[in-house]
Amino acid sequence: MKTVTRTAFSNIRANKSRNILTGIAIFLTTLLLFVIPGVGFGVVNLEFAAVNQVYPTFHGLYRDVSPQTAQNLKASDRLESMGLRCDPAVMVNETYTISMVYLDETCAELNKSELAEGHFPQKENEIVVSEGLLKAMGLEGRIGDTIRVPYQPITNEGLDYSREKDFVICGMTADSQINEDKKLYSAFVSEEFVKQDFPVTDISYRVYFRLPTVSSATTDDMEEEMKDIAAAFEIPEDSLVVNTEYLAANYVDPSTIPMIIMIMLIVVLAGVITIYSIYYVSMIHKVQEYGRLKAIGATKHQIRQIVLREGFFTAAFAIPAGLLAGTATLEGVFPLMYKIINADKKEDMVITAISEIVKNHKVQYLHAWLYFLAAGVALMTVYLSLLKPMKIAARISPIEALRYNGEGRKGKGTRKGYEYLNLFRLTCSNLSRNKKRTVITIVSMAITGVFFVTVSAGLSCAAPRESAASSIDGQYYLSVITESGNKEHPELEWSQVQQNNPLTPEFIRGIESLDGVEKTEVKPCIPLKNKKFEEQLSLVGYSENYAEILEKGIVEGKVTYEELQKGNKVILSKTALHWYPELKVGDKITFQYSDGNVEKEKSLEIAAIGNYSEGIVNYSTFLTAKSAVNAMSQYNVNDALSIFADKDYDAELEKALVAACEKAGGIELADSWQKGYEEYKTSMSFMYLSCYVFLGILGVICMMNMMNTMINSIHVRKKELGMMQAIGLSDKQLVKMLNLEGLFYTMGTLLCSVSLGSFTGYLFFLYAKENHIMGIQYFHYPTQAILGLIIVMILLQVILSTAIGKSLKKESLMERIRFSE
Amino acid sequence: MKPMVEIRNLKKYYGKGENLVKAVDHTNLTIERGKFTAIVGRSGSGKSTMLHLMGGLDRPDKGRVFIDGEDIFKLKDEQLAVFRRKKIGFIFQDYNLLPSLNVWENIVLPLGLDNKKVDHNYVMEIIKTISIEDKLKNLPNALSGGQKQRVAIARALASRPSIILADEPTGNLDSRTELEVIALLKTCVTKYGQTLVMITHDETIAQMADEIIVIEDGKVVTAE
Repeated sequence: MKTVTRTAFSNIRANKSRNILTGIAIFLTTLLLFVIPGVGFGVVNLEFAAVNQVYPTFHGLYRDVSPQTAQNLKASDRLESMGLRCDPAVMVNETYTISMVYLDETCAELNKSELAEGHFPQKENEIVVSEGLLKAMGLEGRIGDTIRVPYQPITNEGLDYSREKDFVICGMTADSQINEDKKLYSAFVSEEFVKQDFPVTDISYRVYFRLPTVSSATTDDMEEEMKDIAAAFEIPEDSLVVNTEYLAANYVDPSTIPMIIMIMLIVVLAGVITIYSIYYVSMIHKVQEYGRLKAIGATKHQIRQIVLREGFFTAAFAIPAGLLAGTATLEGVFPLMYKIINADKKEDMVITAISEIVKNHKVQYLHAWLYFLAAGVALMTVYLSLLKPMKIAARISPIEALRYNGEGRKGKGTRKGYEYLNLFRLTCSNLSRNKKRTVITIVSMAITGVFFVTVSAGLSCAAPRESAASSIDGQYYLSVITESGNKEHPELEWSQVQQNNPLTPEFIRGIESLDGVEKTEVKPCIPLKNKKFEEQLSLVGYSENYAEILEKGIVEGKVTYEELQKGNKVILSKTALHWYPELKVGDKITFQYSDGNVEKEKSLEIAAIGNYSEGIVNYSTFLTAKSAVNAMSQYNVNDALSIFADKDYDAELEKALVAACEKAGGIELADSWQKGYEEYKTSMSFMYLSCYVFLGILGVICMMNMMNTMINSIHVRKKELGMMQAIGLSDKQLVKMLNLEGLFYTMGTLLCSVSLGSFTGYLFFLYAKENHIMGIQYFHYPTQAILGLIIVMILLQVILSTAIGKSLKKESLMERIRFSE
Repeated sequence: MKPMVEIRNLKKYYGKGENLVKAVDHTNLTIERGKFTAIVGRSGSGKSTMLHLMGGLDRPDKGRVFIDGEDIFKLKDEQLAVFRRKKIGFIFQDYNLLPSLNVWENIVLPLGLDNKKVDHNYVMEIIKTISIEDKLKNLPNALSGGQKQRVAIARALASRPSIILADEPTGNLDSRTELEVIALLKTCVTKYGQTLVMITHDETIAQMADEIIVIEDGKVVTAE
């Protein structure tokens, strides 16, 4: 065996160029195998650490639980711990939303609600506030001071009339930037306050709980258990809120692991194909050597071992190098990644916490298992790719080997050939000489290419501009301000607003006259009620300009705009179908709705189900003709105004729109193209970067392939090329010929990659559009990425051919002519 | 009339110190136009190096080589390659045919490299002369050694070079084929008025030449 090892070792030196290439391929594969799970688990761990730092620790909560059910739950042993929360009232404030909240001790603990000073309210008139809250209410006070607070109790019907009460401040909480940014504060009150001020029938609790811990539980199991408990205590399923982030951070989410495994499999596949192809191609000129070894008595097993050990020797250098580079990458990538993200999202608590953790290096990214995993999988990749070459080498008979020149054993011995030769024909004859090698090289490169084009297509479809455009109809979206159930503001009820709707034709004309506004589309809306559905369903009307969009978007059933105009048929939005899966085409439902102060009924038939972009649907359940909605009411039921401007974003116009809304009152600028664009841009920029870096490394691995094939093809033909130079092939012609050969590989790869990749990319687009992934709406051909790919490949190939041509000159013509294996 | 080949003070050494090999050592030589010259010498005497330098396949350390009056080492690599394909035909001991091209393609290859049109009649005449007309579609690996060397001869003749340099063209052939090939080669160069310089260590073949040059330790010792 020592001889076998020695031979394998000496082969490393003999096959230097091949081993450098396989070494680079193994190195890059290892790097990717290390970095992908490293980054994946690193991000997840960081987020989990941040979530544990920021998020409350309850597993889930049940809303609207009656005091009796809460008591029953407490008595059962199915919950490990449970705390009660009740939101009995809100303070009266125009700008801020200030909830008055009662928490019991366990609930405060599960919610991570801590006081900066003082204690939680015990007595009926005790209250915990914060400095920001006091300021928002225009009050002043410290612990022990009495403050007079106006508040509106929350009843089953909505907000009740306002009351006032004196409270003694018993504790203070700390404020965060988010309170002020979101105009949201909470004050803590006592259980006594709740019990004294509210009838028992109006009290409903939120029950925060933790399930008994089972270490192996998955998030799916836990959700199931929560639903099961809800069913057992007759709590409606939709009252359950799962603390998803906390669960994901602490329990296994079955969906993340397959994702990482899939990406790693792609890397392994690319690695196997490349390393296999490198070995296969270079095996051709090694065959004679293995034959000679066989002739002097090497057994099949020994030959296989020589090939295997040579591969493993190379891996022994390349894998540690890949792990080292991976370690450096992981150490560097996290601070950089969160620096980029943190710059945009300072207000996000989790991201701020993550940045903190990254900065202080509180989470370990490097784990022993990561090294073992990457090294193990890389070694397996090398082994898999060596299987076939080992078999080929072992199969060779000594006699065959001495004759073998990689062109197959039994040729026809004749060739039709050309009457006249030129460089192009000469190149073709060489490429056709070893078709299998040519095909293997092109196919292995094309697999990576197809993957590249598919992902680029996905990324280009997810263009922030497109996604922003699909998230909003037009560039600005004005909406009438309404609020349901607030007794203090009955004028905000939709039934009241429609009688005095600020979205009048005059207002619309005013908007249309603004500079930069091209057109507007007003959308009337009527909220529909039916006892089968807990929440109101909205019926939105679209003008005739939308007729084509409405009809084209239909995925099930059939209805024309003219039929919709008649008023009895509607289209159900596919997004809404997600929430109301029981609805189907053909259903006839009688709804109640308010026409001013009059309650009316209307029977509607779901004639079709339509799939429309987020911008068009905008939370509506049913879509129909504008005239049909208007006909249902004697009042102005205009709910929203979509504004189409000449520019996607115009700060002046936005200012003018806000001013117009303020002037009219009761209307707000609810959304804008720019807002959607900014959101998509931030979330996509990092994805773009990481995807292209990943694809770039995969691309380099696959380029190794072409390099190997060309170097080998030239190495094998060294003598031939020398002879051709002897009979007059000039250096320029040689480089041109090598370029033509390389160009064939490049073009073949590009052709396969672009054609197949475009096809798979389009399939991905269809899937993403259907399932509303990343806001994808339009197919956007990844022209830039493909042009980039073409330019990079051609450039690399030209550099490669020229470099190989130059390296040939290192040996004199005579040395090359005399060259033999 | 200018001689076909004129070598002046040509020097080519390989290696250093103890390993120094004086392959061509300050040699002068003249080869007349239209003659068949045989270069003989023992193995390692420097005859192959001399032939390669004569054909511009290698550059000397010192000295000059004139082919048809042209100082070939004054030419740049690119010009030298063009000069070679127009003026010189090579025949090697191991044939050096392109395995992916058939017999016809191998023969017309130098013309293709020179972007010259193939003079079909002329090439067919050579092919007939060397009797391989029924093998034109064959790939080299389907030919015998003698046949391969005939193809190599035809290839050397196809571009009508002024001089043919042959490096032991019959070294791999049996003695019957050997004589046949040499006779063919001689017939061709006589027919087309070309100069033939051949390296051989076969006395019989050397005797068929118009002139024999003996080389020893990189120097011309006799020219008869």
